[in-house]
Amino acid sequence: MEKPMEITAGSPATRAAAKPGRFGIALSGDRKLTIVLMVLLPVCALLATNSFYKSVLVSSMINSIAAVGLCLMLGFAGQISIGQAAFYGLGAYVTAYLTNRFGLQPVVAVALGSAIAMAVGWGISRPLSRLHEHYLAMATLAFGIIMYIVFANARPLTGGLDPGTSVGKFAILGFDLSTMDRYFWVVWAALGFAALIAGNVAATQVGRSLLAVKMSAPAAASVGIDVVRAKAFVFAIGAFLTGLSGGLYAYFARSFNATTFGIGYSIELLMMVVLGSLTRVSGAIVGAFIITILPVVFEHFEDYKTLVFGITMVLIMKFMPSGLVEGVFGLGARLLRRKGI
Amino acid sequence: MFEQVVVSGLTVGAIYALIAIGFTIVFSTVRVVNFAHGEFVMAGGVLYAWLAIVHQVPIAIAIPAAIVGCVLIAWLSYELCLAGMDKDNHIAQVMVTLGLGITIKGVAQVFVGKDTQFPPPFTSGSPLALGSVSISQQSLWIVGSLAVLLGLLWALLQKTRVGKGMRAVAINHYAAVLMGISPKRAAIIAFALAGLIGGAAGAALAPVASAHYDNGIFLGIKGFAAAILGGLGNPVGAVIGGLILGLTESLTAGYVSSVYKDAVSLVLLLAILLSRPQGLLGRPLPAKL
Repeated sequence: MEKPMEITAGSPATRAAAKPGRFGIALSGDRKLTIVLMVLLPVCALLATNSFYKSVLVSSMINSIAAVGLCLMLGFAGQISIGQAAFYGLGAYVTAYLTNRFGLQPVVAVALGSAIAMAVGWGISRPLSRLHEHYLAMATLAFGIIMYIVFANARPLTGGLDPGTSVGKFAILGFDLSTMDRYFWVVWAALGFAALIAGNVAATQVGRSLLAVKMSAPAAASVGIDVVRAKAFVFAIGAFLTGLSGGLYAYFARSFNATTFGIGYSIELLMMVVLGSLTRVSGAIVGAFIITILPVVFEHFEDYKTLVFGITMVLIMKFMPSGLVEGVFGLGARLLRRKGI
Repeated sequence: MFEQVVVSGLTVGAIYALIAIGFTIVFSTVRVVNFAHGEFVMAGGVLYAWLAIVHQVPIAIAIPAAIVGCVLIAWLSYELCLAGMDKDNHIAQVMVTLGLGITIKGVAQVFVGKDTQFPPPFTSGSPLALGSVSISQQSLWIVGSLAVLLGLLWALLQKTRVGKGMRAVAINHYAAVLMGISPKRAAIIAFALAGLIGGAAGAALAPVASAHYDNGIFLGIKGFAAAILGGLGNPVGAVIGGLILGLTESLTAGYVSSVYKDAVSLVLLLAILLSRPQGLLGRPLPAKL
């Protein structure tokens, strides 16, 4: 296809259709930025002198995986979800349960946890595919809250709010990977995997059909796209990545309770995706870092923390409505143009 | 016991209805789901408690003052944050309202404090006894405010030029502009009304359910659920949605389990959404091309 679609310049579809590079591999701007970020992360890990910074880094990366999943759902397919914490929780609880109860290898447990989250995502997408916009937002919100209530009260399975759940150390075939230095690489690999999946979805026909569904479901159906199937696909993959992130969180926190999986986390994820960039996978990663790190930075403000965080959110969204990554790019382009380059 | 459960369900439902009306008014004129709306309600309660308890202001002054404060907050929210944003970028607008909600919560935390407070009920006196049912005076105030505010809102929207202009904007933004109606003015009035009704709901609820800076999100979700249940954009739907939600919660808490009362009401909401995707009284959504 010479011209994939008539879409406004700068949309993911036009960006994804990058020219083959020197090595014959087509890399879109988004992918290049993602690769740069993936290379920068180990550098950051080396520079992070104390274990606190390192754990903030790792938790940002765990959140990034979930954010990449939501980015596909919301940014590419236009399917808003304010219930992602449910998948995050499913990933974490299934992982912990399988390890504790059946003594499964951590990697297998995390994989099964993500798979179950994925199955649930696929399952709810069928009925939810009838709903649009605000109604979809409410339905996913309701799903998230219901799952939270279940997590908090199904104490024999989840430990509820108190005492919660704890898991052992992350290890592959007996090789201990639970120190923050080593666990960093586990999460790094998972984030790379997530970004690869998301990048592939974005750059292929699947991603373009998702974009078509986002722009207009009836129009997409008219050119032969199975809208329900496309929505089910994106819900499943979004839930899978969020479940993966939850499974990794379980081994990161080692001990956690249901409060982690409340509505607050779903909203945070939404902020990450929108704040970074709705249409770039790299934007989701940047957004996840900002939302994870900002509260840590503002920790010194004590009582003013919430206030400063809120004002920052409003300012970014008001003055860079298409996200920080887009905003910075736009600003750079404008500066270059002014200089006449 | 059944009657008692129904009475408390209707009281809770009336609060949800009041919150839902604010969502609905703002949605129909500005086309934005205002996620800061729950914080307006929280502000109503917190301001009332702050004035009545910390500053010992008489109740008759503290209540209107708290409501006026909420109207100001709502007006400033629109004027400083949403005005001038790209109308078609819904998701950015929603995110701004989310940020705004966090900001309002932060302001309450810094300036009013983190204590949970129970301000005095509007009128003190023994509960009304109707046979086996006892109704607290505050419940009457809550249901009464819903009735009065709904009546005033109806009069405003049906009888006045301002209200007719707002309805025109809700029906067709561009046609309204061509008729010389200012959508910005309609939006300001919509936000002010949301602040007023939300603030009143918050102040009326605080003596029963406490005033705390962290209450907003919970109240907002309940109000949003009620508005969606009834059909977003329809004030009567908002009231019906609120009452159904309140009754379901109260009946579940009374007869099944208080732990799962929110889950049951949300399952009901999901069931209704799946059979009627536009809500109970909403117009069927046209397919977007």
